[in-house]
Amino acid sequence: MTSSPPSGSEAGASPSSSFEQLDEGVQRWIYRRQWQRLRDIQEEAIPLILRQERDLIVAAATAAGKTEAAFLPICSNLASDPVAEGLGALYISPLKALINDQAQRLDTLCEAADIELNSWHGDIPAKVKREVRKRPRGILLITPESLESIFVNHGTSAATLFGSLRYVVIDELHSFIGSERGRQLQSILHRIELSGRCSSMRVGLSATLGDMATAAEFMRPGSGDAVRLIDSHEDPRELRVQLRGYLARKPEEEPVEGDGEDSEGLAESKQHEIAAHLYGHFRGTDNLVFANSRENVEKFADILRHRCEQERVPTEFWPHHGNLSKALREDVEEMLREPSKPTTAICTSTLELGIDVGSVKCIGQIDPPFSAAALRQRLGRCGRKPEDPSILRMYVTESELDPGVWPGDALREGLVQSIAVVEALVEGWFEAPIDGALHLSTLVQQVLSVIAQHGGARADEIWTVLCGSGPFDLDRASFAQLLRGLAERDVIQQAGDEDLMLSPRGDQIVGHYSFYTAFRTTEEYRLIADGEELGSLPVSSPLTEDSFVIFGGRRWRVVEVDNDRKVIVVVAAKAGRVPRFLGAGGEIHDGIRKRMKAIYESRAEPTFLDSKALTLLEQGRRGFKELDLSRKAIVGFDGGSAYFPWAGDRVMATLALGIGSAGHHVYAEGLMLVAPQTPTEELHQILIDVFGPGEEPDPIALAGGVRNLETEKHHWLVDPNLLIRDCAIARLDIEGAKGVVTEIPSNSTTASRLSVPGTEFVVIDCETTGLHPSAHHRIIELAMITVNEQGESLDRWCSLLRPERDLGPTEVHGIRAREVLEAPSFDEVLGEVIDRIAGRVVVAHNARFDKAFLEHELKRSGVEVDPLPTICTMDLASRLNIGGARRRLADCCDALEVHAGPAHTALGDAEASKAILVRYLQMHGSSTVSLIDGRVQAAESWPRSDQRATPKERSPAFSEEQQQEQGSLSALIERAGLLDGEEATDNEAAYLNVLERAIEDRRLDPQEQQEMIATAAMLGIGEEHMRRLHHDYIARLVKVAWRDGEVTAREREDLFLVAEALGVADVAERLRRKESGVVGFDEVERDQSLAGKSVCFTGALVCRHEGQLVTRELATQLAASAGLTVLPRVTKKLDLLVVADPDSMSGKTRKAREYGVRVIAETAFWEMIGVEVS
Amino acid sequence: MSPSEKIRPRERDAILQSLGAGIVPRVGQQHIQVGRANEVQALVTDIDRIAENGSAIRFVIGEYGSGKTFFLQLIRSVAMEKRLVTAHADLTPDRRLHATGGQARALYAELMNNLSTRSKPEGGAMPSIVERFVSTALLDARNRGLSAQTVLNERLASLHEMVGGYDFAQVVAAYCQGHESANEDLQSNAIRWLRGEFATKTEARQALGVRTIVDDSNVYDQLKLMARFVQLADYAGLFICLDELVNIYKLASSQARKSNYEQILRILNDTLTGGDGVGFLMGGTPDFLMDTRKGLYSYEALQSRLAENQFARDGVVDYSGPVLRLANLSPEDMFVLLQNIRNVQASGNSENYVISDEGIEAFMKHCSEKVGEAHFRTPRSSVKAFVNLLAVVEQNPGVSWSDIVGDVNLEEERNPDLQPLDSEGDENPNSDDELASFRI
Repeated sequence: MTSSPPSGSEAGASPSSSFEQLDEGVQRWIYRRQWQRLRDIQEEAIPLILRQERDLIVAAATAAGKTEAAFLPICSNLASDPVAEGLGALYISPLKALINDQAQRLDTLCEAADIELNSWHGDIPAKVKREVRKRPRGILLITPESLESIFVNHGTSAATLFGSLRYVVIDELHSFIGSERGRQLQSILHRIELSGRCSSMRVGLSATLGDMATAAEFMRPGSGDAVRLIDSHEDPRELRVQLRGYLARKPEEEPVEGDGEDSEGLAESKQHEIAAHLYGHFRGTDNLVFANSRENVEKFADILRHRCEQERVPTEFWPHHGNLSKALREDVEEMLREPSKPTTAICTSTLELGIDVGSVKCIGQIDPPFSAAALRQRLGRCGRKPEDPSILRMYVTESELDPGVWPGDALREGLVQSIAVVEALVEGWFEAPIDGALHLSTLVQQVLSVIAQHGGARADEIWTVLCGSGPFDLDRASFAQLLRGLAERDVIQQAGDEDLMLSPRGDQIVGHYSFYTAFRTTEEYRLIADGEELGSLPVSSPLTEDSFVIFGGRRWRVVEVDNDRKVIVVVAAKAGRVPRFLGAGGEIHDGIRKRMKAIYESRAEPTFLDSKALTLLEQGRRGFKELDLSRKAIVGFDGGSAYFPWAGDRVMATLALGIGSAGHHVYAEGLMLVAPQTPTEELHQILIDVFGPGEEPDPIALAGGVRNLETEKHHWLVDPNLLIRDCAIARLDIEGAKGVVTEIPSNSTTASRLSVPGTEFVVIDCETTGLHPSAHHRIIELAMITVNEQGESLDRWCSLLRPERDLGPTEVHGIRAREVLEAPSFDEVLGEVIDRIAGRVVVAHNARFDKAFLEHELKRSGVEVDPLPTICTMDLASRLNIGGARRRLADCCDALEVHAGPAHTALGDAEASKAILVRYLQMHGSSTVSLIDGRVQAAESWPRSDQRATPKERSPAFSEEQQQEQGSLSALIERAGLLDGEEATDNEAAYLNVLERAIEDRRLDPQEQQEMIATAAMLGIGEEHMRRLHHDYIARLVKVAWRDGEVTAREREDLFLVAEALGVADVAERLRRKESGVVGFDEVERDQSLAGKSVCFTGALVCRHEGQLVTRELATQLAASAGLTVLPRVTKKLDLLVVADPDSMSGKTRKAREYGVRVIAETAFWEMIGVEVS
Repeated sequence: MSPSEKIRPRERDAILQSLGAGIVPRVGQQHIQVGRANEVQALVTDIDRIAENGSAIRFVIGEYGSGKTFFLQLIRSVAMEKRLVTAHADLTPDRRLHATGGQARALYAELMNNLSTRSKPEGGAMPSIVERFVSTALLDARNRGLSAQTVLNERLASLHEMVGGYDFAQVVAAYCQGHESANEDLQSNAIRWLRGEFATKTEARQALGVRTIVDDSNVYDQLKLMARFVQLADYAGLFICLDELVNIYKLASSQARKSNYEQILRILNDTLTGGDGVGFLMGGTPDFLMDTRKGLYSYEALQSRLAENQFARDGVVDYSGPVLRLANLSPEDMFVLLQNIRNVQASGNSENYVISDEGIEAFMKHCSEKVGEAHFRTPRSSVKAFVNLLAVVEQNPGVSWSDIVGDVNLEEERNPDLQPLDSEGDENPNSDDELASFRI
């Protein structure tokens, strides 16, 4: 162009032909601007727009003059050939702020061309709007929502308003594509043309477009081909990126009770480090910092505000997210616009769209970004002048590595994802929106809006407007189904002339101002566990029951999804390691995941990483290599498998639904799908069965498993069957899933952790004198069954063993002293034992228990062994999903329909364990078993022993008798085991198993308590955890006891004793009161349980009754008045021995133990008989 | 109505044109009217009462196409014959009894635009009514030897006592002044004011010196003034026909519906209790009346007042209540209707009939095969087709009705604004699926 002075009527040396075509007033305006030349895109766009031939998209970077490219010719056209009545041009923007901004920008241009310019959005006074409606002229700047409100409220004005419309300019076109709002906009554009009975030229302005063809199709559905594109040839802005890595200490193994505060505390130190960097680099200028969650936004804003206060400088860091009030948000936006106030907004995606905050210097991104398009969008806010670079600072935190870490952590997934997104951005690649979604929520909105606009319309007319000629893709029959759904929900009704009209309820929906928006601003579900609210979580990916969600640093299993109340009921899932959570929100596209794999496989070092980030990347690549992921897609993990499809979230969700439909638990964890109970080969087989070549998975059936179908605003008004269809189309990607499954290499599954071919097993079971070998408890009966890899029994060996001490809980194992007198000792059968154990894998139910005894016995006999390689059939049972939550041996046998022999005989139990093992081997093969620890050592490396005494069997008659003796408590425990719904971890199940052994005789003496504590320690169960388990256990027993409507006296006694033994007497009592409604229950209890019993006191008593120390005399008196007989000595007939310190080793105590007399603490005793003591 | 009666060519063309376009003729309805003698009689009684300075209100309730509009127009023509001034308008979303955005004024303007008298049966009678008021006043003045101004003031004084009457009288006085001083601007401004065409008070004050205009809030008061005024102009009274009340029923805002029903209640109360020489005839569908959630019955006070005589059912009728139900035409009625149309087309001369009675029967058979029972329920489209058929046969002497009766196509009525812009392509390949006849 030219720089001629305004006075010159002749253009410069090389007059632009485009310039010449413009109206004089517009030309004068350009002179006054003193522009050196028209930009390329303007040169190109002007003749096209002046001629109004075809629709046009102008794509160029921010500040490239797109607005003028559109409005110079539009103003020219309207000035030289004024529109008689109605609007000449519409400018549609996603944001009010942008409208205000553009109104200022276009003001002088329109004035120069003598064209009326009006804005219309929520904040524009009604008077202005009325004026526009009455006398529509020139250019109107408006939001899609305001257009919707015009249709709804002034439907009859539409014909005049749009009757002569020549142009529709859509700004920030990319921000509409693929979203609910985009579909609404398409529908509105179509309805504008129908109402005005004229077609107008559409001009799209866009900064970032992944796929031009998609954008063109969006602009003019059905005739995208005819849309012309202008892509900016001008140099893109320079991009400067730095990605900083941070290493957080590893979170605690065990999640802290309740809310996991501690791990947050750990992460916080990293946040301070990042905040310090932000403080150093962002203060003093206007910036935007994006964090993926509102919590993070608040946290960083808080840290930085404190920092500013400490340093005594003005606070420049402010939070901005959807939950803040409008006023607060607008304050921040105002501060950003104000050049004299340097401001950094810490925000969620709320500021991603071009809210007019002016331009900023620098963009911060905390935690990995989800999509290249969004990141590009964010970068678009950067740089005041075209020559300013776009600056992006990214902060990614990874946690410390340790053995057994989650693969996602080992792979440094967050870091690699960030790199992948940046690389995509640099390449100019963007995510394409999803095609084919039915957009039912938006369709409902448009149906109601069309009805409101015309005061009623016929079903087929509405279909023609919205689907037949409009942008929605729904066949007539389904549309009828949709309308029926609306009628069923009392939103529409039908008049006598078949016109559909709004019912009063529909009036309310349409009449509320919130109706105009097609999208829901916040889409959050409340998480409820045990009736308590944990918090709320935005849920974007499909949820199924039994899938997992991660919240507050813990993993939860979904029990129920209540769409009406927007509630997800969860229970705490297996504790174990808590995986790192990348945050909710964005859906990751296939292209990003594919890039991530390429990054792992490459050795290139991206230049934008700092040294820490480079180290992390190196670690990630090492992790990738260790898992052998370039050759394998499915690896064994956490006892199950992890599948790496290297695909986007839609494909992963589809795969997960497919695996779930085969009856397997599965959840997505970043890059991988984890099937915690499915061996790798089986998982592979399932995937092939569902998605393999030739298989045609039914998308509707898969989508039928999704529980949170109502993801969009008006979905609650839609027939669920249609929603399932929509979900199948929009949220699943069957083709993609089939594609990745085909690519799984056939030999890709990992070698197992038990890979020696021909491994044999020895299934053992021990009956013991106590719970833990630490207190010199011994094995009194040992059974061993050797089994080959195919599950065939090789031989059986069983014998009683002489313990050389007392026999312990005879009632449980049913072995009497005279039987073991003739039995060999462990030493005497050592040869038999070594023969069977050497070179084999030891298998037992609750193997930790048996293994500890066996190792202990071997050690006593002088055989120093490495930890025995052991498999626990309780674990196997859990993977076979048999035996309920607690995997009791008896329950497992029932599930397998095996009658293994009498319980609590070593051989019987060993047979039962063997049955579980065999079933497992049949189903999954030996390659997927994981060992508790140890490894198989060659038989040769074992010492030899010639001790092979004849085994001594127990008398069968006796064991039958013992069976009959089983009391109600056994029955209760049996039934308690059948209660499911709780998920016990392996360790918890193991502990409870030991606990049941301990209390089956209805008491828990101090010795046993010690053993329980030792067992718990061995299983990594802390004191608090143990208390909770006891509490839950008793609660369960009480529940079971009450289940048949009454509690027998025997049951009462049992419950009371066990509860007391476990230190949770008060709980039992409280629960009983609550359930029975009987107050004073404990009096009855006392009378029945203790009256007539005999008691003996020993040692110095320490309690005080009514201020005075309880002497023996007083104690005798009190006990007698409670109906007890007080005996001076411990005899076999004594019922209770009361001691101040149950752990004391006084002669009476020892004797009482020998006789099996119950020993209880003094305080507990007084409490039991209702004597108040202190 | 008898076949032998002669029909004037102007009437004939107007009737045929209207029917051919699917709308109700505004003149000559008596030539084609069939049946409904009792209903007509009830309304004639009403009109007589209005002419005697009484009042009346009727709700004509019938299904879509049952002939409500025709009936309304017929009664309107009767009213004009009885020297009443009539005004008629269809309610639309933009024309309502009550509104805040100018829609009520729009209704008033429409009514005033359609103001009709016997000599101006097709509307636009406002200037002649005002003129007649002036000339009668002047005549009276001359007869009584008084000054024109005195007589005018005397006559206008009776308007003053009514709400908004002072300004109304001012405007009429301004017209007279313009009449005397041959100030046409002033006259036309006065007419514009009376028609409710002034949008702002400022404008009205500059033009006529009055401080009020007809606006949304005073439409009904202005109608009452107008009723008094036409009496002053020596007409028998004012008869107002409001059609398509279903549009109130279809309003999306419950508040808007309620305000309109309140206006109806006010009118109902006024007309049932007093007499001002004004009558209302309102046409609506059963939905509009009976729907207890959105219709008139949703408004408690109206429901009790409009409740129909419980004994009037199963053939027993009561024509005295405010609600008048129009029964659907019977096949026999339909036959007579088509005969009448044939007669009109032949200008009342049976020798010119272009179709025989058998032909009419064949046509009816064809229609009922095409659209079934709806053919009688909503005669509009078959009448339209019949008129077109007659036109073809008349203009093509070589063509007989029997050649083309099988080609008659009954068109469905569609909202043109909802049709695609480029309608060449058949966008509705399977338009006879459930969506076409969608029922909830």
